[in-house]
Amino acid sequence: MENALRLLEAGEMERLISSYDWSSTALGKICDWPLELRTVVKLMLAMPTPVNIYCGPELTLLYNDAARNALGEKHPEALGNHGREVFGEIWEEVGPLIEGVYRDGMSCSVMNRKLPLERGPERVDNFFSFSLTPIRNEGSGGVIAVFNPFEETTAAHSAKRALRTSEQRFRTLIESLPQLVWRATQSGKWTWASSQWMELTDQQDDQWQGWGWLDAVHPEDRAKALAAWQNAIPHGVLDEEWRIRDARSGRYHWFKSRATPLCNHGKFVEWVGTSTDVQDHAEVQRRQTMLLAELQHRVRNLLSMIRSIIRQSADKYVDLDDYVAHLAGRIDAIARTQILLTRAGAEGVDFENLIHDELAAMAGEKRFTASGPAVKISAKAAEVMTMVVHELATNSVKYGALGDAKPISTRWSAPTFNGEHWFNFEWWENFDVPIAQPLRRGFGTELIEDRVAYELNGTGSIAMTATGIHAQVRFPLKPGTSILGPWPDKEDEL
Amino acid sequence: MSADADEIQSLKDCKILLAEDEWFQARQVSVVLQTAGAKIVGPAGSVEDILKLMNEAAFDLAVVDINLGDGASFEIARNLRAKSIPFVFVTGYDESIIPQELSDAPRLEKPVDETQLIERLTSLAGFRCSVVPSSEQA
Repeated sequence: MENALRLLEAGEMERLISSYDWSSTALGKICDWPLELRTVVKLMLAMPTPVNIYCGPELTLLYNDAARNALGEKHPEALGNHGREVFGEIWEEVGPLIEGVYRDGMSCSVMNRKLPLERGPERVDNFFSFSLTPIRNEGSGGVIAVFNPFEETTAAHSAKRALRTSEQRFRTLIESLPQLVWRATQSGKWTWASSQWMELTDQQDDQWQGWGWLDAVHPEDRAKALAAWQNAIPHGVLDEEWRIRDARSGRYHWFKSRATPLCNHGKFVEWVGTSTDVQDHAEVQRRQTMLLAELQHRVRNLLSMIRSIIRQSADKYVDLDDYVAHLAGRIDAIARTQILLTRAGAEGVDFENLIHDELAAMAGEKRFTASGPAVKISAKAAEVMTMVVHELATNSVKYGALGDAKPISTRWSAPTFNGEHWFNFEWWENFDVPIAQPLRRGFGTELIEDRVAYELNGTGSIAMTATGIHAQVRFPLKPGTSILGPWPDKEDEL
Repeated sequence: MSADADEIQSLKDCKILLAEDEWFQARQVSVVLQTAGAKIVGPAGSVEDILKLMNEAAFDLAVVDINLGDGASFEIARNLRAKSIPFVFVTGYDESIIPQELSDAPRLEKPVDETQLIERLTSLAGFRCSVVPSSEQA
C-alpha cells in the first residue's frame, strides 16, 4: 500500500533534489554542477525505471522516483548521503564495483545478485540486476559520476527457486515412494523411470526404455502385460498385476501396475504410472484363505467327532442322567483341549499344563501328583491325551481312588527308542477296599487301547486289579501341525 | 422286518476302503457301513497306511477324508482315480479346495448325513458291486 501511494506522488524526487541544500555537500550548489551531471540527473528523473546516480569522489547518492520505492525506509535520508553510508550492509558487495567504475571508467553489469538490503524492519534476501556506467566530464575526461539503473529481480528469482525447490521436492517424493514410478507414451513405451526401478531391476536407462522394461517382467506374464497395455488405451486406465524380477534376490515379486493418462487441454500427453509390490499382501491373503479353510475343516470335524461320541457313548449307558453327565464331561474335555491348542500356537502343547487343566477340573489340585519333564506334544496328541486323562479321572471318581478320597499319581517321560523320541505316560491309583470285579471294557478302555494306536501310532493299556489301576500310554513324538503354524506351500503338498 | 433288513443291506458284500484319520469318526462310519452290509477295508488314518492297504487289499469303493492330519491332500484320490475305483469325498473343507480334475467326485460335508452317505455309495456301487457274482456270498 505504501509503495502504491508513493507512486502517485510522481515528481517527488525532482522537488526534493531541487530544494536540497547541496551547498553543504562536496557537490556544491546545483547551478555549479557540470553540465553532464545536470543532464544525466534530468534524464534519471524522467526515467520510469529505477536509477541511482553516485556523484563525486564521495559517491553521493541521487535517485529517481522509481528507485525511491526500492529504498524503503532509507528514503528520504539517503538523498545526498554517501553511498557507503546509505548501503552500509551491502557495501562490501557493491562498493568495490561502484568505486571501480568511478576510478577506472569501465562500465559493468551484474545479473541477479543477492543483496540483503535493510530497508524495513525485516532483512530479507533481495535479488538485483544492475549496470554501472561512468559519466565523464567533457573537458577533463575524468569520471564525475556513476549512472546506475537497476531492477529488482527478487520475485522472479523466488519463483524460479520455488520451481526448482518444487522439482526437487517432487523428485525426493518420487524417490521416497515404495512404488516404482514411470512415464510412458500412448502405446506403453517407457520414457522415464524413477531410480527405484533401476535399483530393483538393475536395468540401466538404455535397457528399460521403450519396451525394454518387459525384460524385467516374468516371461509368463509378458503377454498379460502387453494385453493390459492394449486394453488401457481404449479404457483410459491401466490396472493389472504381473511379476517383476528383483535383481538383488533373483526372485520375482508380484507387482500391481497402475497408470492413468496425463492430459493437457484435453489432449493426451503421456501415461503416468506406478508399480506396487503386492507380494506380501498376496501372501497374507493366501494364508488367510488357507486359515479360513482350515478353521472350517476343524469346526466341521469337531462337530462330526462330537456326533460320533454321542452315538458311541449311548450304548454303554442304561441311565439317561448318567449318559448326559458323561457326555457333557467329554464335550467339556474337548473344549478344554481347544483352549489349550489356541493358547499353544505352533510349537505344541505343554503336557504339564494339559494334565493340570484336566485333573484340576476333576480331582482338585491336592488329590493328584503330576511329575515329568517339560514336554510339548502335538495338537493331535493333546486331543487324544486330554480325553484319555479325562476318561481315567471320570472312571476314578465313579469307581476308584478319587471317589474314595485317595490320591492318584501320574508320571511322564520322553524316552528315546531306536533313535526316535517317544512320550510315555503312566497313571496309578490304589484302592484300600478291593473292588469285587474288574470293570468291563468300556468307552475309556477302548479310547486308551484303540484311539492311541489309531491316531498316534502308539500303544495304550489299562490294567485293573482288585486293589488298583495302572494305565500306560506311549506314542512317538511328532512335530505338531497347527492351523496357527507356518503353512507349507500348497504346490509342495499337492 | 425282512424287507427292512434288505433295504438296510444296500451295500451287501461291497468292500469299502475307509480313509479317515479321526478314530471316533472312523468307528462311526464303519458301523454305519457295516450295518448296510459292507465289508470295511481299513479303516486307516494316514496316507502311508492307506497306500499300503490299496496295494494289499481288494475293494470296490472308497470313502476318503481330504485331511488326514497334515492338511488337505489329494494323493489318495488321485491313486483311486488311476485305478478307476469310485470314491466319495468326506470333508470339512469347502468345495473350492478340490482340484479341477477331481471336482466331479461326489463330496459330502462333515458332519456327514449317514443316509446320504449310504445313498451315494449305493449309487456308485450300482456300477461296481452289482457285477460281483452272487456266488461270492456263498
